[in-house]
Amino acid sequence: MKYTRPAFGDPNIKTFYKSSPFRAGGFDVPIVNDRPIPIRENFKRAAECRSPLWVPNSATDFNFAMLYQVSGMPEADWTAKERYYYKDWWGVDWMFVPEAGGPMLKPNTQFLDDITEWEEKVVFPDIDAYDFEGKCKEWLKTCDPDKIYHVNIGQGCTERLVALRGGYTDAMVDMALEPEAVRAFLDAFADWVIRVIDKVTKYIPVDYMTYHDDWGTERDTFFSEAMMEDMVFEPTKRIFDHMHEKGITVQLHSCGKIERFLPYMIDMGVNTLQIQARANDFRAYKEKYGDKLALEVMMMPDPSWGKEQVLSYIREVVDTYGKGGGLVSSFMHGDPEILWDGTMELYYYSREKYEEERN
Amino acid sequence: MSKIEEIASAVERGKAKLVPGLVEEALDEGADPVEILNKGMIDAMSVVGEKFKNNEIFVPEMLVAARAMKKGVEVLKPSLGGSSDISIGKAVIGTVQGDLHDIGKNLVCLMIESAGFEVQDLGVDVPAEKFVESAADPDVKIVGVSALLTTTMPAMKATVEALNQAPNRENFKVMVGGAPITQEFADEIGADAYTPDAATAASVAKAFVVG
Ligand code: B12
Repeated sequence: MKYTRPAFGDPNIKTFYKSSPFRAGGFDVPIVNDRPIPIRENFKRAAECRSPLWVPNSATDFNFAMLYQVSGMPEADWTAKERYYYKDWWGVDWMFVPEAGGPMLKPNTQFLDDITEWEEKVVFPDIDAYDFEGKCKEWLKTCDPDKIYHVNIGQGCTERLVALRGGYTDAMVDMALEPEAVRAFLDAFADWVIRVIDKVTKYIPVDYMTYHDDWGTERDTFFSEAMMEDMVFEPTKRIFDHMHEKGITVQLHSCGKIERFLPYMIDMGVNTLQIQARANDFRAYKEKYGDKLALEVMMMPDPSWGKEQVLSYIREVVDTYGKGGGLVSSFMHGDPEILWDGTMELYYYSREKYEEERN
Repeated sequence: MSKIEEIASAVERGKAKLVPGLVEEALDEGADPVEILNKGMIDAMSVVGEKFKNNEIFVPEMLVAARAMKKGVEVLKPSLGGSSDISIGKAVIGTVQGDLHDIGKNLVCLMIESAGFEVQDLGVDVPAEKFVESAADPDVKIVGVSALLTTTMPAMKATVEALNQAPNRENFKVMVGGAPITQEFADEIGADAYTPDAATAASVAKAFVVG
């Protein structure tokens, strides 16, 4: 152990209050104050699989916002205790379901009943009518400029198609039967997303963006490669290219077992992947694509574990997925002492590991 | 290729526009309606289900195949003399309370229907009482319960427990499924069967009823 970990409560270490856009309350996270290079530069190296100095921890290294926070678009109240309905900025109806912990298209409603009529019936949200400037500036006030600016821009191509068509079933039938209409809609959608990106980046020097599009089921992808190539990959790539042109690192969030799309993701320029641990073999992906595609691996220790067990788990995650960079992580814990020690372990252990790797 | 093989191939490829015409032609040629149903459609859908199970085709292909079959059945129905003649039993299927995932449940409905059951789809977010109420129908042979979230697995447990208390429990079998569900969990909560996919669900349901 080369670096001594500052002990819990060390008076030389300050903490800051970290809250989440999804739940009430927050945590006092210790501030790691001995960074040999800027957080931003280290993050780029990690995300581009080029030998970073430590594993970026979103809890300590990121300022994070969901699109609604920087646009003022309507959004679910994630802390709600009762079910309720709301409309998103496209006019689509949603129901928030507290017991499931998320929103869901309002059952038995359909905004667009025929995809071939999208041009007449779908009104793209008028982003100029939203106060991006005010919201972005408000959010920036809560940020630490030394940390990276991470914005999740939310729903991607297939998810928006699904939302407008009142569910997956009709959207998937459209993809099978009306590929031209779907493709035309998604091209227009990509143009609109690009304008959203321009709007946000006008006010915030965004470093990192998450794009959300669920492509998989527990066992495989929803769609074939051919269908995706035909309709989805190209507009998606245009969105990613635009992010890259702005110097933004691209994260793709995609639920389900998406293994068969990994080579396409690399071609589309995805830098980091936020995918589901249960459905995917992270070790195999790291082995096969670890030099091209970074993985976000959240530290998710079992709540029953004691401190030592949590710390050894953190080391194991770093050892398994950290090689050569390509690992972005996050650690939170309800116990203040474990949160402190875990944060320090993730930082200092990964520094030791990368130093060893370089020598 | 015989007419029935042509129907089967059109169903497999999801050609909803072609199937009704082919069924009419087959009927005009004097083909047995029951054979059209069994060989042209039910068998074709099991091929589709099997391919889906083996990750050879995907959800959209399966949905369009089922739609194509539905279109064919509409044309066939009058010649079959009413739906009760072709049904091997009733199945009620739903997603548990709090859970609104329905893609998997819908595929299970489609496959069980294609296997010859009359299906009552209870929809999503279904309270345990609703399952029990529907299972009281003496024609019900299969009760299918779906859950996709670890947070709604307790609702599945409560639902199966309530079904297990039903006075007519020996009349029906309880089947469970969904991404987080395992055989172990199914055993633990007292379900009769768990299957990892819709094609197997259909063959297990059929085996329960026809033995
Ligand atoms: C599509 C999807 C959604 C869609 C649902 C659309 C719809 N109409 O169903 C949307 C976007 C709305 C959604 C919402 C949410 N989702 Co969701 N969703 C998925 C996803 C990506 C795919 C599920 C799916 O449709 N699979 C395709 C079908 C064909 O497969 P299947 O359902 O497994 O069904 C097959 C078998 O299981 C079996 N089967 C299914 N049912 C039955 C029943 C019987 C009787 C039998 C025998 C067999 C059987 O046969 C089927 C066909 O072969 C999964 C990812 C995954 N790994 O599964 C997440 C997933 C299930 N969702 C998840 C979450 C967390 C949510 C939300 C809470 C998210 C949020 N925070 O907003 C909400 C909850 C909403 C609610 N109240 O239910 C998590 C669950 C994690 C957990 N702890 O359990 C998953 C695993 C993704 C993840 N991030 O980890 N989701």
